[in-house]
Amino acid sequence: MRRRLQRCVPLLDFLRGAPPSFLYTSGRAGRCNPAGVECLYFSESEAVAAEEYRLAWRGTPAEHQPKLTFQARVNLRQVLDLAQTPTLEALGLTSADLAVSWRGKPLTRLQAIGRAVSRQKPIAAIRYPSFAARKKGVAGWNVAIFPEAIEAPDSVEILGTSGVPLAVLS
Amino acid sequence: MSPATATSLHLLLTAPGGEVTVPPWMREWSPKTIAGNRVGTLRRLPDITVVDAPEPSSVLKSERFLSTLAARHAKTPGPSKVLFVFRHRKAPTDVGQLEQLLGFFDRFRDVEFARGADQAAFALQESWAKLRRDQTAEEPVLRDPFAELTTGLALTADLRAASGRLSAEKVAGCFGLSVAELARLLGRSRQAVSKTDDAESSQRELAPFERIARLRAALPGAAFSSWLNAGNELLDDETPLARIRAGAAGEVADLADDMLSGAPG
Repeated sequence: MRRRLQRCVPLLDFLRGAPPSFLYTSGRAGRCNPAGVECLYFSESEAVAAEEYRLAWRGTPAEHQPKLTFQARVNLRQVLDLAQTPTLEALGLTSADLAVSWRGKPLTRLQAIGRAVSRQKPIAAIRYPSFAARKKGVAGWNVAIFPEAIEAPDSVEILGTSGVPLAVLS
Repeated sequence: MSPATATSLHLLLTAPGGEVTVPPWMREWSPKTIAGNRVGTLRRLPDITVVDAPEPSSVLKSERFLSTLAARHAKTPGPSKVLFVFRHRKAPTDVGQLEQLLGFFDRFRDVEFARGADQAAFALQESWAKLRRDQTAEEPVLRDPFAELTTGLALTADLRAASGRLSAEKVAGCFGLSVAELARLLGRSRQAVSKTDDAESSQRELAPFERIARLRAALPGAAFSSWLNAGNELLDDETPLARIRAGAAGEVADLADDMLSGAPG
């Protein structure tokens, strides 16, 4: 996978003045990782990133406030692409597994696969359907990148407004 | 490690079929028991499940029991071991049969085998030691991406006492909780919280509330309270406050972090 990925964040003074590192991973659980497994999440397009943002802030004044979109340029040799039916079949995954509610739940199948991906090389990421896009009834994709599985020549670069990398993971 | 020191071990004994008897070697461990045909009633398995059987072949004949046990194991989050104990100490072992048994389990590395009482007792101790080690080694160290930013910008300064520590009374007020209710969530008494509302011992439990309260940067004033009390699609349509009241402030704090960092849900 060689492309630019996106993420939308609220345009807040405290983020604008001193933004957190967008390569920072907290080890919190996510759709594709259990707690304790480092993972970075992005959307494949700005439209999907905006949909993720809207879902997160839905019903609040922030839903329609200005937001900041930042980009990551990724170069990943191998990605587990869950858009591929044979891949889903090989992993024993159904479309329901990809959209299952995961917050506060026991380990999901997708999280278990994410943990396995994080413990190997060279597959460094999982491409999976956006829950927010699905809720809207459109197709859209996110990418979960596992820093521990990245090795050269794989790389993830956070781009500044001029396109110059602000931070690099490789 | 003896059973006496394994007081927090959740141990279950089962066997294929409708009856289960605690073997002499296991009595000092005081296991809970469940008949094999009742395993399907369990929501999940405990730390260690011991399966008592004469031989691997006799377990393999109980395919339904094995499938049910394996399904419950797969649904059990976190570490959980299954120890098959075969009573016949000196019988030859067929590796193919062991492999067949393992084939039922997604997490087959959590499955152990032992023959006879001596091996079984030691294998149980070994499994318990590994579980303890797992719990120590794999306890996630979660970091807070906004801690330094918010410390400098005092986003949550209003939740702190003069000591600089989080104040339970101020947190309760911010979330619309009574002090008694927050005290319950912190595992403390109302009186203890009132006496020292910024107790050092409560800071860890109060930290998720601070992470949630940072949302006020984007949801000022009543908007934060509205968000707390509105059904949220990312929480299965429960309200964040309901989750907090259910003792899951950490989950809501994770959601708040994801919202501020833009991580797709």
